[in-house]
Amino acid sequence: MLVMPAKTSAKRRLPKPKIFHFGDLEYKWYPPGYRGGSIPTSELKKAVRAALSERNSAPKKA
Amino acid sequence: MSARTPPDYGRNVFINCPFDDDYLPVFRAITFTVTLCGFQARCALEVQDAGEVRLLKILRLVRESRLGIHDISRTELDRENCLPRFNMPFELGICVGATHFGGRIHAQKRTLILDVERYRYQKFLSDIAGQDIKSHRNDPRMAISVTRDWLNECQPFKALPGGRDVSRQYDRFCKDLPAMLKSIRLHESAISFLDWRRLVEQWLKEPEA
Repeated sequence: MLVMPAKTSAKRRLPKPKIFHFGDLEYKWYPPGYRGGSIPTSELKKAVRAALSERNSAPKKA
Repeated sequence: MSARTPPDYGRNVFINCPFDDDYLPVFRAITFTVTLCGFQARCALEVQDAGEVRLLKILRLVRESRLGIHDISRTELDRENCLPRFNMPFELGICVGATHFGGRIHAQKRTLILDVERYRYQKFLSDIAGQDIKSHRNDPRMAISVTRDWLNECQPFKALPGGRDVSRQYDRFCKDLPAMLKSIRLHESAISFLDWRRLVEQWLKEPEA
């Protein structure tokens, strides 16, 4: 049976730029919603929540 | 320029500023303020694509952004070759040109020009005399305040939080930052513009922030 790659991988979801050529120059148009960046959103979410819980659990100054 | 409105045109804020380490605190504070006020910060660092010609990248950002923040404060001579950098005034000129010659859509553009002192630009860029230049004195808090006030003038639809409130939230974000970076195993010096913007967006989404 042919195994297809998972459709939900982050790489697949990232839209690709459209490329136009004007003479020798290449013009790239990035579609709306293009996010880029190197850190997956799920990791960013975890990091933010970890930081907030650390702040909330820290003993408060008198 | 095309007559069609680019996507997110009204929300996009093109930040044209120095990218050196000395300026980084001001740059990050401006990016935070823009994001907190509900706009999207854009800058030439957002796409690290060596295949795209730099000037075309700048033109694309100018075309896609209604608002522009231009910091012309970096007038010092370069340490290596003793020449000044002209990129920021050049990109400001592109925006001014687009506003005047870009048709109906680009005539809506609004520009904030920043310098370290308010009237210093008259000595090196006298063509823009008469414009309202704001100063930040290399202080992130002042940069937050002038950016917030300008964004508030640019949109009549909602009241933005005051400058002090934005500064307070920025302090809180900076206090949370080391724990966030620890969690994603990233050193502060390695945060890219996009990662900074996304960290801010994610942090602002959390109700406890």
